[in-house]
Amino acid sequence: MLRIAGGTVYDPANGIAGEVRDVCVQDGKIVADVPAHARTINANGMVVMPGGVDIHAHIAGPAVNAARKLSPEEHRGDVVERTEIMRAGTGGTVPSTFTTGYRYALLGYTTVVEAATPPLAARHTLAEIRDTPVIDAAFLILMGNNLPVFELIRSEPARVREALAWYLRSTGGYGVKLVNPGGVEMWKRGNGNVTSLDDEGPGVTPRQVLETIAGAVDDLGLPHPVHVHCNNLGVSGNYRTTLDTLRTLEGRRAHLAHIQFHAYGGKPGGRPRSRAPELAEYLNDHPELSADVGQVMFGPAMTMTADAPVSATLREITHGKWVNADTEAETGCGIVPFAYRERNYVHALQWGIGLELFLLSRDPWRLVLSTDHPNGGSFLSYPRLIRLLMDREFRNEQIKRVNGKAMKRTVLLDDLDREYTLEEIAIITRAGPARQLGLRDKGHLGVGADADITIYVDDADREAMFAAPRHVFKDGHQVVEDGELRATGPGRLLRVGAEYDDTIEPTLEKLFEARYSVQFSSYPVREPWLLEPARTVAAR
Amino acid sequence: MGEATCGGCGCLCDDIEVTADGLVRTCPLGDAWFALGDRPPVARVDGREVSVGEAADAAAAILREARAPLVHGLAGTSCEAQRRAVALAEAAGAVIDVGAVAAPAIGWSTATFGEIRDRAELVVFWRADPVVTHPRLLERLRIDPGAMIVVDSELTATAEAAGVFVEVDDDFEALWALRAAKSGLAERLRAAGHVVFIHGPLDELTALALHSLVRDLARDRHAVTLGLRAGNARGAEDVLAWQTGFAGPVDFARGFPREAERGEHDAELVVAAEVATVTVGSRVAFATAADGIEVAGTAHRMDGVPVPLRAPRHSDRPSIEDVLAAIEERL
Repeated sequence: MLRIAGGTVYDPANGIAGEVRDVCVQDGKIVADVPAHARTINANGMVVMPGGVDIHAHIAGPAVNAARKLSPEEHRGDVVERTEIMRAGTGGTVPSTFTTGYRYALLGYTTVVEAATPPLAARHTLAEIRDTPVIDAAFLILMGNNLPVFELIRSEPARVREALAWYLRSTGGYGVKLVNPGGVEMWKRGNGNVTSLDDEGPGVTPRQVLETIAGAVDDLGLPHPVHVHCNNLGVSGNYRTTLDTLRTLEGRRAHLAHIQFHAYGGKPGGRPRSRAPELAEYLNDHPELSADVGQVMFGPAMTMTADAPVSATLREITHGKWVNADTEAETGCGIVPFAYRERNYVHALQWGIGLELFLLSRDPWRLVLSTDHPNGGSFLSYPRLIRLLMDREFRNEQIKRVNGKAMKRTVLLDDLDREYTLEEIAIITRAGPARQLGLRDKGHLGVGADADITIYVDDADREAMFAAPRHVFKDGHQVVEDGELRATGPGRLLRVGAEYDDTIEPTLEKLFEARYSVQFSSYPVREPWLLEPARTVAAR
Repeated sequence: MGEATCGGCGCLCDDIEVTADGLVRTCPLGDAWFALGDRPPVARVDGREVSVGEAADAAAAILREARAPLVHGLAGTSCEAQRRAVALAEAAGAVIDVGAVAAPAIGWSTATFGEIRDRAELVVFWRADPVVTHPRLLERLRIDPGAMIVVDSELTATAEAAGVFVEVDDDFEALWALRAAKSGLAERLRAAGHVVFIHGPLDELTALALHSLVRDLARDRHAVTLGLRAGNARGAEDVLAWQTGFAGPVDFARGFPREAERGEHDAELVVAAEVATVTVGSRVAFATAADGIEVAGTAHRMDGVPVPLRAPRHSDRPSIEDVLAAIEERL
């Protein structure tokens, strides 16, 4: 039992914005009160928030692991020693599994969504999640270039929902992700791609894939709507594709991943311009849609994506390391180490577009924080990003330092003087992501919520404040005390419970034989040690 | 009795049936892998049969006293046991070497079996003789002999099955020449829309040349590589990389992972060099239950695809994972 006494509490989901009050914990949950003899933590003058919830990051699975193998030089320079409670590891933009768990906990984050797993590789992702301590983790399965599903879209679209539910149950996945629908399959066929939603591509158009799968996810009532990485990522002029995607999805719920990378004007092949205002306005007007920003932060990054043709383009820019990995029937994967530089026009513009999106958003619940870790920068850069949003003076100094031509292409120089409040930060880093994920026990401090709690020392330097929480609790256990890691138990897998009609199995089995190289019976993950401890979140 | 996954090579064929009449769909390597034969007692110290606990005590004492212990082997066990082996190496301050080389510095392009089977127009076997080392690979990838080119220093069994055999002495020179030259082979590579290189073990320089060639080719066509690996060698490399950030040999002597040179050691823990064994130095030996035959788990095929290892037979022996955990507890 625990009482966090006298802290200034930010719990936006329960309408609490900076009230001094107690937060009580028993058996891992928030309760209304605890007896006087309960352990008390004096939080006077401190800021109390729910544990952070990362809606879109790349932390586990074959792509992440390939990036680790690709970057030994990063790991040499950032080592973590074994202690009584910690396994050894390495950091950099793509830390080892144990280090990933520890560093998220030290940042006050307690729930993270791995945003792109080939369902065929679920066992690998699950095994890495098992070795990622402290945090609860969920993963999204890549379904935007899935050949059996394409076949169903052509022949029996009404059964796509059953297929999605089967894949989710077979993998322990939480939600459905689409990455460049149709385009990645064309890439694997011979370095092709699609460039519009009506490209015939692999026998179905991107528009058909979007409509059918978004509709199927809605029908299934999954807690998290379809999670979309649009076509034409990074291409100048792609905001048209993004708007076309949003219009196509209209009336259905959807979450748009890292929209910063999809908010560019200009002509394909030419210099990008910002179209953030148009996208921000569209999102503001459509309550069924949500997005994470995918902010880029200056410094080192590791681009890794199921959108393999994008990586081939990046390879020709960096002339550095490049990985391509094709997964049969499901997806591709590309990895290119990258660095965003302040003086580079494109990088500065991307940075500016991310900030524009944040500052023009009218609903923080639906436009939430991400760097698409590690694509736009490491999750360790979130505190700096929070300072950019909360501290106008700091932001304006940064704006002066970066490429001026790029800044002129944004509205950042036009008196965009908004400063995020602590309440809004609590929304974009915990309450909002939890709501978009449909995680009812996360992202708030109401009675019955998971006792995942972060306590910060209030500090005018918001970067320093958010970089080093004083105390962090996970399920009521203190995992960080006075800024030091204290306990490192396992986190749990968050998976979805979706029902399906068993008659989909013989249909899928037939589609499998010609497309996969594993037996149908090998596909579903049944190993209990990979699937436990878990919480199953039911579909509506 | 039932379904099984064969650990006889890195193909990890998951369509094996174990019936009363024997094995279905195994190759000669698979038949040998499933035949466990007569096994010695579970635990021995200096040749004397002892309890598992006693042997684990002796193993832990050897590792504690060693200044530079080495953990190696690991291709013949599950990812679950490999995970335990990395933990043990870390706790012992040992070097762990799963036999993998550091990843190619420029990166790589690869694909799973199904992609190669369904898309490859031309498959070059570079110092790879899967007919001998991975007997069902050609069947599983459905490679047409006319689409096969074998490059090796001598005529191999795979070369005999192929349409074209090219003899090489110096791999690096041959690969580098292919990047520029207008040889017949270079022209065939450039004429294909989807090219695959299947290769055996390569030294660092040859690997760099091969991946450079593939990267050149990949600009104008799809081009991928597939490295032939033993059993669950790929799993060992993957587990080590996710736990430490490095795929090559890792040294935990300083309490954190750093890349190790292959070199001297004064005690070794060998995991599954032969099926279902763990040995520590010359004194301690365990004959465990066999992963994939008597113990369930997971393994990574040489293309990275994780597959389940089943347990069609029962054994009362402890698993490799159990033995490694018992040793680690005692460190």
